[in-house]
Amino acid sequence: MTESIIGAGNPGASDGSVITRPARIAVQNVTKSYGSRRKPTLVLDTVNLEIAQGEFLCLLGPSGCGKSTLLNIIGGFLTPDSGSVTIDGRKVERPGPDRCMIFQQPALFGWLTALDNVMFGPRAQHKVDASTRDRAMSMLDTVGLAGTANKYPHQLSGGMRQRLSIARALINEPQVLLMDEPFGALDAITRGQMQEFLLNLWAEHHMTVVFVTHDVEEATLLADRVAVMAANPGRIVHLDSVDVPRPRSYDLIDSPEYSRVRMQIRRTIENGGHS
Amino acid sequence: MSARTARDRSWLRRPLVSTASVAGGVVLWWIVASIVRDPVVLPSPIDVLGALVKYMSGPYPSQGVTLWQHAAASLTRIAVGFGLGSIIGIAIGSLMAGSKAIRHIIDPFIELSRPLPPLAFIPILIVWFGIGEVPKVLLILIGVVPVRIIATVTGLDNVEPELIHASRSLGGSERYTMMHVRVRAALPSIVTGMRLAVGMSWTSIVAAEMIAAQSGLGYVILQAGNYLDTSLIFAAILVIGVLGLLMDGILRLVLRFLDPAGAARRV
Repeated sequence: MTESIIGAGNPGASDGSVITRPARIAVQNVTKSYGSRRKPTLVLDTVNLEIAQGEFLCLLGPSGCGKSTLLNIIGGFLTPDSGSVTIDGRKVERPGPDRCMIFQQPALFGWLTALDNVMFGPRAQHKVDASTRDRAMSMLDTVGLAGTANKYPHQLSGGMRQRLSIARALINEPQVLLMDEPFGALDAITRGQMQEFLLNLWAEHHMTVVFVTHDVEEATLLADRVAVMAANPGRIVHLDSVDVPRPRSYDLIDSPEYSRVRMQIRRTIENGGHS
Repeated sequence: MSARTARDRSWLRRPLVSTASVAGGVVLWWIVASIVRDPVVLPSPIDVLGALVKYMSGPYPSQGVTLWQHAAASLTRIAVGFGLGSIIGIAIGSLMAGSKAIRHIIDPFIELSRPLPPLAFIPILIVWFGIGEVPKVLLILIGVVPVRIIATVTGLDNVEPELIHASRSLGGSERYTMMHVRVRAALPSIVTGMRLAVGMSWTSIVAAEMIAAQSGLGYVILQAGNYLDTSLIFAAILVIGVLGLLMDGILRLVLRFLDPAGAARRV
């Protein structure tokens, strides 16, 4: 594993977090295999990764490189064979509302209205009080769905559904947002809008984000740092800082700085991690 | 505006066509009946309606009980059998969905029982339990329970794992997730299983009443057949059809309430 440019720092962290308490994530010597005991397939081979408070990190790699597996281990949905993940020093053992997962499919509860979907988290944790409804409404407002509180998920468009699933996660004030190719199922135009939406949301609230994607463009647009992964066995082969100043927007995607970073990352991937 | 008209039209279209089709069927029946001209072989719709009205208010001679009281007897048996069968089926189905061991123990019996017609059990049920209410309710159970088990297991199995992950990730405990997400997401398919089971229980109960009963719509049909009162046979069949449709309609309403997106759509 090489670290070409160390630490992009934490730009914008001083603007004061509104709803989240960002956390530091440490992945230490995580190994994971699938399959039978006799013929195990090594999916993750001794992965080490430190993610700073409030950092936006992209896990980038081809399918089969174990990026989703790594995200699921951070989320607590999978247990590593060896090694550990800690969040602010606490070991991850099970899923929890402090690190909310956003999936490629919005995974909304189809029998609940938009508002009730957002209220699911507080209800599940038996933490509903007089202010919960108002907070849920303001979450819907945050993601631009103020007018759809009483609509059901199937009445919303793809982008709206994904924004609703983000609002549903944000009400728990997660320290960490784990996103598994969240915009992968959207059309190109909506995807661009969602990327900008996420950038604005992150600029405002500054939670720690781990974002899985196989799209180099998406990774460079969003991330502070990009962790490039390779398959067989899944491992991090390269860590790149994206030295493009913020605020960023989709319009800058063709700027020379972006092109340079993208070229560099592409070359890394093609060389199998040896830059 | 044009979109709205289109929607109005599609709303109207189905009931209109269906009503016309039913009316056409009745007219066809009428024509055939007036060609046959023998109410014992094929009574006309008017004959059937006459029998319906007659026995609705007046008692059927052999038992002194009206058609509606017979219908109520059948309905009660179905309510008991169907309710009991649903409870047993959902309970066993949930256990099977929750535990692989239980599933492997019970599964062969369900696979074995599936192709068996419930009616084949009537003689043995009479030998064991006589001709009271018990064998009739048991017969419904034999038909209903496997259907309910299969619907419950499939429903719980088919809940998208992402929904369960989402709930866990949002802070729902395993127990909360089971009750509020997995069972809730499976409800529409559990109710769809109920719709299948309703048809099943009518088949069973009418057959049972034809063989060993002093009341019920199956009994009426058999009696009417013995007296060649074909109009009454048709009238009783009509009552069964309408009651079945009503029960199905209620379940469809429940389904719409439970599954606003429509069963086929996944979000």
